[in-house]
Amino acid sequence: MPNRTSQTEHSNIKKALARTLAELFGDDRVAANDEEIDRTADALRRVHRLSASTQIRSAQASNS
Amino acid sequence: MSQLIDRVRRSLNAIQRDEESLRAWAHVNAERALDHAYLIEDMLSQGLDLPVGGMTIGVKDIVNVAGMPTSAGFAPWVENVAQDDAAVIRRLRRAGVVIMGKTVTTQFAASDPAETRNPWNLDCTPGGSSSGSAVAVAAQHVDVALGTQTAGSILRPAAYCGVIGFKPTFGAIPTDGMLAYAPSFDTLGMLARSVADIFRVYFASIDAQPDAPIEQSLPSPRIGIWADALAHAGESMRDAVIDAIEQLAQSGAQVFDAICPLAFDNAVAIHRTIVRPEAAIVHAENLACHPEHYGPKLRATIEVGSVIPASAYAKAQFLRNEYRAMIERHWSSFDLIAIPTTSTTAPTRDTTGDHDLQAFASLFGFPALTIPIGFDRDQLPIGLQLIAPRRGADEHLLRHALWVEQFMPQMPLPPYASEPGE
Repeated sequence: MPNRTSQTEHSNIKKALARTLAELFGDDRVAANDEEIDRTADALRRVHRLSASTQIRSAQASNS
Repeated sequence: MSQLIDRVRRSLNAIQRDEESLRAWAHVNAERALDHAYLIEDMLSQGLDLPVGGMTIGVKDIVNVAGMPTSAGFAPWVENVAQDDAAVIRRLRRAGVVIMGKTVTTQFAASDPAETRNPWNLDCTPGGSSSGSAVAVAAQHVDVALGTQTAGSILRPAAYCGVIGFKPTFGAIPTDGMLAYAPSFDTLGMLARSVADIFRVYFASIDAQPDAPIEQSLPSPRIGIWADALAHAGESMRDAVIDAIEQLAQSGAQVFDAICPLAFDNAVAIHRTIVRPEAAIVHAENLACHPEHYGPKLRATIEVGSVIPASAYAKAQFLRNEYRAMIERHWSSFDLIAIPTTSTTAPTRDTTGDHDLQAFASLFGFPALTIPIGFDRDQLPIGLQLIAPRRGADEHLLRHALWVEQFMPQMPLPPYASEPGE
């Protein structure tokens, strides 16, 4: 079960996606449905949360 | 009449008889298939070494076969005849296959269901996107069919239709002459009724020789069971898969719990974040020209892919590389990771099914194979997915699959396929 912070993040990402879709394709022509937007928002939240720190650490190690 | 010519004629008859109910074929040219069979027959009689001489194949309709249309399930392309063979077709022709025709794909190998029916239950989806390929193999129209996978498009239809499906390591088979969907993942592979047939056609496709005779299996694999993925499947699927693995354990396999450094849902998220922008780029111009001909699911995918931030796409690619290296190290002691191929058996035809369980191997480019292990209570096939958790371990996976196959049930002809030989 996502916690409150995750739910807020998810909701914000979802709103941003829906807004950008409407701006790009026009409100009445968007084929993307709520489920598609919802699942994509969840994916973006998860990717955002995952740490890519190993990349940074290995870059630091090779530079030191 | 020679055995090969007779076999090809019988296959053509079966295709014709089943087409109205199964709709597995986008294009069949009987005259060309027979001419081709006569040619192969002649070459075999001269003693030429053809590794897959006389095997009949169907080709998914996003892969070019010279002189046949590549329609990709897209109405404006119905008469889009390919001038040249795809690289894989050139190799397979040299190796002696008889090409029977093009099998139905979902539109552009995406998620909008095609007209194809599942031969175990006509109300169920055959899965997608290699829908026609799976049905053509299950109905015994051909020995082998080519499929492609970006998320789960080989393994899922193979499992739903009760055949073996193999997705090789990403990049193992050249994709020149194949329509792209998401180039970071698009992989050519094959479906068949035996691992040995997959083996032969795979090696012909990579233009290489196996290290040992095909019959030589690798016994007693070290199998990891990944509980996080297992939990994604329905209870009956989990039980069936656990039963199958127990049977393998009793036969000599060593079975362990496999902990993955990446949560299952996060793997699915990374895959989704890469696939959608790539599909959007591939389709942007064509969608602008023909919006009315696009299926709603693909159109939605493209739209969403167009608005995923570049930073998210780039990070997902970083994560993919990073976790792949980590998983290859972490699971280096396993020959195979065993998980259910699909979360349920074939659902109804308004969907092609859920691709999450197949997307893990696609995300990391690992070779994966599905093998039928039985039926659910509705007599729909269940598949066991075997993943070799490192790129390039294709032969290793196939040899273990040869061993696994002997303990699994032989699949009968599905009830909605006509008897071959008629």
